[in-house]
Amino acid sequence: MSKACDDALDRIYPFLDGEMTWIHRAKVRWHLRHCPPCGDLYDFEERLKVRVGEGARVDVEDDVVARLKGFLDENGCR
Amino acid sequence: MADQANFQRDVMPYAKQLYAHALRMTRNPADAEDVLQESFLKAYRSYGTYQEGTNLRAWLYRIVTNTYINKYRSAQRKPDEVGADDLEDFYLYKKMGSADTPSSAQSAESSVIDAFVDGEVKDAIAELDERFRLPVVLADVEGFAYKEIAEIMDVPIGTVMSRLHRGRKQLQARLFDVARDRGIVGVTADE
Repeated sequence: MSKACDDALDRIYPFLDGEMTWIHRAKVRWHLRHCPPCGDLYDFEERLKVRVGEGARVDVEDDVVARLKGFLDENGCR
Repeated sequence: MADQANFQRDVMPYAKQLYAHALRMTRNPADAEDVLQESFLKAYRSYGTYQEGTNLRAWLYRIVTNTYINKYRSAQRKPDEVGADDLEDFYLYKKMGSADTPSSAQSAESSVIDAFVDGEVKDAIAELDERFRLPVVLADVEGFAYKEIAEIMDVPIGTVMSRLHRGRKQLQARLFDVARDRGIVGVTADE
């Protein structure tokens, strides 16, 4: 692990979350492309984030919205 | 200033996602519906203070989140058993890398993600300490930016980043336990 690896890994979540300025993004992206161990780790984190987002999805029935609308109408909310 | 007369027209498109958010926090459909209804009533009453053109979705998430926190005091939740600070960064990846698996380590790392079923992911999130669960859900499930999460949770952005980091570690530790219990991964070499 080099200093470049430490710097990239310190910023991997802001990078993953699209929260960096382009200059910092470019630095991290360059490192991930040229350092296979860090690149593999990043790919894993990226896939896991997507999987967590998908796995936590909830199907909401229309009934819930209908009941909410009924509740709002009853309480005079337009 | 938003016009109360347009309330339902403006906010109802967000009803389903806000219910899903309430359900992820309460873990109980009846409680989630209570939170949803109470939140919408609050939102209606303060709709005049909402600045039209600003982030309505984040404004509504903030109300739902606060309603949940006020209704179900977070202090009553059981204290967290896994101190997220003691966990290694990139916990799951590192543990999979050192795990004893029949195939190569690389394929174990990549296949473990596909092996989880949705219920396992949901349970792992639900078991997170609340301080960590909210930023993880808001970032990874709802796709909010750090700045929006900071507004919804009413904390500085630095706090969002640190809790998100710790929350992800804690989530990965729970997912690793799931993988081990299900035999997706063997006992780790360093244990």
